[in-house]
Amino acid sequence: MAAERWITLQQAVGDPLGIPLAKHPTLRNAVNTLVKALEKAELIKLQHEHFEYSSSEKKRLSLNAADRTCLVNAVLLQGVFAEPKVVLKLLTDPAVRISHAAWAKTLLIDQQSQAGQGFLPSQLTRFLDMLAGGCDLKSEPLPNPFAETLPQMGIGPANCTSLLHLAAVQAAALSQGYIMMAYYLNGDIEKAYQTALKVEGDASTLAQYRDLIIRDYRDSKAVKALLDDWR
Amino acid sequence: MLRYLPLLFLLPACALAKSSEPESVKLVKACNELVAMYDRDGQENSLVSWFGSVSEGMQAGYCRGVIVEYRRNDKLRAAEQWSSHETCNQPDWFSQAQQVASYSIDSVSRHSVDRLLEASCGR
Repeated sequence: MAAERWITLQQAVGDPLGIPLAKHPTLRNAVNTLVKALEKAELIKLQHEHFEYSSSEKKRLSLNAADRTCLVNAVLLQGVFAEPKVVLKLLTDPAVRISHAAWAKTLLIDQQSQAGQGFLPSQLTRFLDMLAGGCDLKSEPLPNPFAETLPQMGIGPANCTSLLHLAAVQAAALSQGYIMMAYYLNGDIEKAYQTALKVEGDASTLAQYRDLIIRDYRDSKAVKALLDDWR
Repeated sequence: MLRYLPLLFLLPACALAKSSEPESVKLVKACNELVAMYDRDGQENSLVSWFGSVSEGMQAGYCRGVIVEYRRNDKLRAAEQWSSHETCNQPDWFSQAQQVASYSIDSVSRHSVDRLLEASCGR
């Protein structure tokens, strides 16, 4: 067995993903949480060392270089599924892998709502196919489905820190939007307006309809007031 | 097809702006829009959407403006020549607008706006 080589978090996660962790505290915190959960589950090994020449109680975490693939996979999984608990299950339970891969596929790929979510659909499909398959996630690297930034950086829309969280928010926004459109198309501008006030986001087609409905409501209210005033 | 949709919205405005029809016909059409707006407003229980009704709205306002101003002048004339003045038999501007709206385009096209308004007062 080769001698164990200890590396830093940046070397283990930041370098393979091309992200300087020091510049992204939100991501670093997310990864730290994940690392601790993985260690607890005995999926990776950590070395806790005191800093040299320092009386600080803070310890430097070192990771086993052999765990690098497992850790990067875990970070990518966290980007899709958010919860470290879920990530652990995915790494250990084949049945959970299959069900979660199918679930994520429906929500993220089949829904056609991925515009602007910051992931590469073809890569994500490969990622989820591999997840559904039986490969060893501790040794086989998953393809990175994210375009440039990881969701854990929290800089995406709505400050969501995972793809599924984002999809859930979008689905909620979408259904509100559908209700709004249904009211409007039924001619109930009052209810359409009340719903429009709850539709969040901008730049989407739905947001344009929302703004239109809000404007129409206010204009129509003004016309109604004028008609009443005249008589 | 959708590309031409904005053109459809512009058509009524163009028709209003460019037509060479007599003023009396314009007034009858305008009052028809006004009466239609009140009809629709009264018929529906909830708020009516007036989206894209700019031209109708302007015509309705034009009709009301003409009639309200005519009635104001009529009152002034009545005060000046009270003995010989025949009062308008329409109690308010809205019933007068309804009367104007009821005229057929053909019958009013040969008359002036003044004649039209006089007739709507039963004179």
